[in-house]
Formats: sequence, structure tokens, C-alpha cells
Amino acid sequence: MRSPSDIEAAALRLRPPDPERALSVLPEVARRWLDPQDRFRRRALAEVGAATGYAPGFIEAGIDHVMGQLAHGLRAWVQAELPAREVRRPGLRSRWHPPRITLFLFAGNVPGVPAPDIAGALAIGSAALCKVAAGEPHFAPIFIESIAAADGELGESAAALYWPGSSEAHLEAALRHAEAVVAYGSDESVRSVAARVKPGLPFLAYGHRLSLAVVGPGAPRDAPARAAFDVAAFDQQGCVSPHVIYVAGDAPRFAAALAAELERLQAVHSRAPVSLAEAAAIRRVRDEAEFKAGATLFASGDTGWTVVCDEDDRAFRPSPLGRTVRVHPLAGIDELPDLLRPARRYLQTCAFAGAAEDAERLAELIGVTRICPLGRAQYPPIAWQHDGQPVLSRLVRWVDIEEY
Amino acid sequence: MLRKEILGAIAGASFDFDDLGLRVFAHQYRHCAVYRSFCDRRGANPAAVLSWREVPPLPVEAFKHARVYSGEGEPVHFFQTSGTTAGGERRGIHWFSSLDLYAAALQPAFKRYVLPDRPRIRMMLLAPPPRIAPHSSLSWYLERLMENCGAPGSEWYVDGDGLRLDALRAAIAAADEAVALLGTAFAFVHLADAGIAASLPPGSRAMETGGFKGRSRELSMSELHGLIKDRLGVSAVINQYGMTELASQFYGNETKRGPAWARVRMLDPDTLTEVEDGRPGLIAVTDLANLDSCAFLVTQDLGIRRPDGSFAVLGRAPGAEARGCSIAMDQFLQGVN
Repeated sequence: MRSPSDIEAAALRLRPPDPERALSVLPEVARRWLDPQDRFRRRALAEVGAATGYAPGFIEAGIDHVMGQLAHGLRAWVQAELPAREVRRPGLRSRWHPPRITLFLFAGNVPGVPAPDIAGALAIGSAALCKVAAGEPHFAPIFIESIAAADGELGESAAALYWPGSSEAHLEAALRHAEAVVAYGSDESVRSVAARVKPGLPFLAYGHRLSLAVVGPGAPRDAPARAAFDVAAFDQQGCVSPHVIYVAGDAPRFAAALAAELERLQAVHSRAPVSLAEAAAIRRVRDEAEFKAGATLFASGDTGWTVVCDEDDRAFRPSPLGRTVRVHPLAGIDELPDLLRPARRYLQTCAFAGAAEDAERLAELIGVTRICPLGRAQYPPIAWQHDGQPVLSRLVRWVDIEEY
Repeated sequence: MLRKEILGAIAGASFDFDDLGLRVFAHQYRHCAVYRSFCDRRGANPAAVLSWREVPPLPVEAFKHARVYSGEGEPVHFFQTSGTTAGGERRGIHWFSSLDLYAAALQPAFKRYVLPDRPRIRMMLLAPPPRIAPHSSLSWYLERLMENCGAPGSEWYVDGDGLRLDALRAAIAAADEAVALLGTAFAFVHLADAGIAASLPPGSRAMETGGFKGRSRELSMSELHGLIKDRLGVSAVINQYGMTELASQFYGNETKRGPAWARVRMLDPDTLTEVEDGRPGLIAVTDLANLDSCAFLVTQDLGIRRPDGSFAVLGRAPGAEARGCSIAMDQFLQGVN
């Protein structure tokens, strides 16, 4: 196991990347990943699949999305985040400088996430020191290897290592030379990292998030299939995955159709095994639905997928995940703020199918940071404002030079 | 008559668990509509089921939403679960056509595991009497124990205002004979927090039950028992594992045991099939004294069974641990409340 001084040594070995080099090499690296025969892609599929138990189809779809975005959208993303190297303000001009090293603490619940993060850092001139999660330690190092294979020098600007999240000594060593930190995890783990980061250092915290879906009038006929994909992908573990679906229409019918689609998906892309606690939590949801007035339960034989249509109690409640989703009827979009009130602080993605003007209304009304088409929850564009904030521009340090 | 036969088994008559169990199943399938539809949805009925192990266990959650009642005629009494979360959680209701089985069932295991050494003991009950909490199964159970095995001076130490700390403090200080303190885990914590401390006479013992569901403070069983031993000088602290939905109770700390008419199995929450001894699963209890409701239950607790039929309780199956950026239900609820 690596010691804290190993971590520090790895940080010191990182070479500052040349952003222009990164911007020309990385899209090519990403394009190679899109080739089904690419050796890094194949290795990632095998190793990530083995580590997570996620259905290969979802891992492939995730890789295709993320690499497709990097292949075509990296430069535009950097441009959108940081349009100019230098800006003028009254009395001064200001230039941004990248952090020499950005420390990424990845969560591992969704493979593929490290790719845009690492690429983004390199593309603004920041080296990337990455901690991988025990649950999914493979994707980041394989991605970095693929960069090194295309450009040895650029490959020396990123490193991915594992150390136990509980070790303060390792974290301290990693933080010693970091000039920006990006942390994924529960609110608790993100907070404990924050406590060790020097106040004022750029710190992007991606903690607890809850997502939902809304199906309005005018939704397409394949809405249940789209919703099923959003629910089933990565077994609902992503921050973007809907916990609850509100249907302005025939909710029981939608729930039955959703159940049929989840059953179909289960046959082709089966759910990874869940822990004892997760399975027990899914059982509790099912037990309640089976006996509660106003609730209808649709479920697989094991705990593989679960749909509960509850017409009485419609307030948002988090799901125990593992493809467990509640469906509630909705009279209209205006009911949502009340129904979502307990979750408001945590809301992220609303996957929506229906009229365009309702999408606009949702954006104003419910406190989410992202509205996307139903079925596309798992595919945020690379330039998304993750959890309501820009990404790359928050990592940099601006230096003002005053007129004198 | 099934009821008489079960009373006989409780009194010590020999019986065939499988045979009696299947007849209890047939009775409950016939008389309890909720349980019958539950079984039908699973393709189980008295004609199809060949052993008590094949009888589908009803989740205790059902008691919160439906009338789980197999008695003939209207019920004479009910026990109700205590609400534990600050939100409007529904409470489970256990109906009885008679409390005779309940009264009989509670005695033998208590005697064997808590009071094997003497016929009576002075009891300090850290719970409200039935007069104040008429639908608490714990209060009713303690009242029967006090009648059957309480020595003079036995008393209740919870009234309408809560724990009677002064009276309790005085009684503990003045105790000159072995006493048994019986009550909720949380009452013992209150007692300790109030600074009550003494060295109770030899032969004194404590029995705690109920756990810390939904409370602001949580202690592990060994922490709680250590605290009780430390503050009161008792050498024996026994945990009682029971619930409103059952008729019988289990006793012991790392190793729990119960009466001959109640058996425990662990079920894989994923498939609800029995897991092998030594592996964790959801605790499923087959309690043949539970004639008026459902004798075949699966709880929300996790446990491990041992080859001799004893078991350890690992705790309530927690809301699943959050992975990555997801949030666990328990944490979410804490945030809301």
C-alpha cells in the first residue's frame, strides 16, 4: 500500500501540462476510445465491469458519451469557461493562472467521471493528482495510460493512486502541493476534506445530490422506456439518476409500462449485486407498498428492480437505489415546489418529457440545477454547470495587475 | 382446538413444531384476509405448503397498514407500536381475540433466562404501567411479570411525567435485597444521565429492551450494558428481543434464545430464501403463540443464526449506506427533522 510520502513523491513528479498540447492530443485520445477494438477501452470495460458489477452495456454507453464529448467539445468547453486569458476591470487588468496541481478525490459510483475532469485540468494547464475509490479504482489510471500512450510527456501531467479515504496522513500529503481540490462523495466525507483544505483554496465540493424525472402532457410514447434507462443506468448510483418520477397523466399506467421496461432491461443489463443493507432497504420500500392504501407495487422476483406507484403520499423521498423508483401522479407543475420541499437543498437533475414551455417553468420553479430530456439524464454535456456552478473557471487563480 | 393445544405446548406438553405450525398456517390463511391475499400472491396456500419453512413470512410493516387479525369474533384488545420518528410514521397495531396466549407465552422464557434462581424478586419497572399506556405490549408484559414473579415492594417508576427519578434514586439507594430492574434501554440511559449510581445487592439484575430507534443518542448493546453494570453494580444485564407484532420474546446478549414454540431463521433480503447459519440475514420469526395475528413474520432487523437455534441480532437493517454522491434515507430524514 502506498504511504503518504509515496503520494507526495507522485505529486512532485507531476509535470505541468502545456494546455495547447492537451487541447490537440486529448480529443485524439478520446476518439481512439470510441473504437470498440481500442485496447484501453477494452481493458476499462473488463476491469471496471469486474470491480463494479455494472452491466457492460451501461459502462460502454457511459464511455461512448464521455469520450464523444471530449473528442468534439473540449476546446469549446474551455472557451466557455475561460473565454479570455486576460480581462480588464476598472483600474486593473487581470490574468488567470491554472493551479499547478489539482487534487481530484473521486467517488467511484459512476465510472467515466474522471475523464472530463482530468482532461479539463490538463486543458487549462493544471496537472491532475487523482485519488481513486476502492469501489472503482480502474478507470482513471487506464485513461491516464491512454494519454501517455498518445503523448508521453502529457501523460506525466496526471497520476491516479489509491489510498484509504479514512487516512488523514495520506490526505494531508496529497493536499500539500495541491492548489485546487475537487471532492466527490457524501456531504460528510466532503466536509471532512473541506476541514483540511486551506480556506481560500479553490475547492469544488460535489456532495449529496438527488434527482428526479417529470413526465408532462405531450410526453412521447416511449417515455417509460426512456425513464427506465435513466433509472437503470449504473443501478441508479449516479447523482443524475432519478429517485422519483412525477407523472402529469395516468400515473398507474405509466408505472406499469415503466415496470415492463425495467424488466426488459434487467434481462439484458442485469443489476449488480447490492449489499445486505441495500437489499433490506429495498425490501422495506416494497413491504410498505404492498400493504399501504393508495400504493401499487411492481417488482422483480429478487430485488433487481422496483416500481411503486403511490397516489396518496407524493412528497419526494430518496430511494434506496438499486433501480428502485417511486411514481406519483401530478396535477400540474405548480404542485412540485411543495412536493419537493424536503429535498430542495439537494436537487440536481430533472429529466423531463413534455412541452417545452413546461421545461422553462421547471427551471424557474423547482430549484434543480439541470433540466435534460427524459432518457438523457446520464449524458450531461461536458460543459454542464455541475451542481449549478462552472467547473474550470473555479479552479484558476486570477492575478490583478493595477495601473500604476 | 388450536388455541388449547398451543396453551398446552406453552405449559410444557410435547408437540410437533412442523405439524402445529402448518395447522396454525391453515387457520390464519382462512381467517386473515390480508395474510391470505399475501400468500396467494406468492402461490402459497395450505394445500401447497408442505413444511413450516415454506410458509411465506409476513413483513411486520403490514401491521402498520392493515388489520392482521386471525381471531374469530371481534378483538378484545390491541397493542400498538411506539412511534419512533418525528414525522407522521404510522404505528403498527396487533389485535387480540384474547390475551390468554400472550399471558402464558411470556412466562416460561422470562423465568428461564432472567429469573432462574428464585420464584420472586423485587422489581423496579422502568416503564409506564398499563393504566397510563394501555396499548403498550411492554407495559402489559411487565404487569404480568410483576403479578407472577414480583416480590413485595415491586413498583413502577414511570408516570405521566416520565421517569420518577427521585423515587428511583431513593429506592436504589435503600435497596437491601436483590432487585430486578426491567425497562426500556432508553430509560436506563436516563437513569445513568441523572447521575444515579449505587452498588445493588448481590443477585440483582437488569433486563433492557427496545433499542434506540429514532432517538438522538444511540449506544451499542455492550456500551449500554457496561453503563448499567458500572452505575448499578449489577453483574447480570440481559437484553430482551421482542416486538409488538409478536407474542413471544427472546433473551440474551450476543446469544439470544427463546421458547420452544418460537423459532428464528435468517432470510437473504435479496431473495427471501433462508441463509445458512453463521451468515447475516433478515430475522424471520415463527411464533406459534401468535395465533390471533400471524405466526410467520419477517422483521426489519438483521441477525445471524447459530446451529443450535440461538441467534445474534446485528441491529435494525439500516437505510442503505450512501455511495458516492447519493444520500441515505436516514440522513435525509435527519436533515428534514
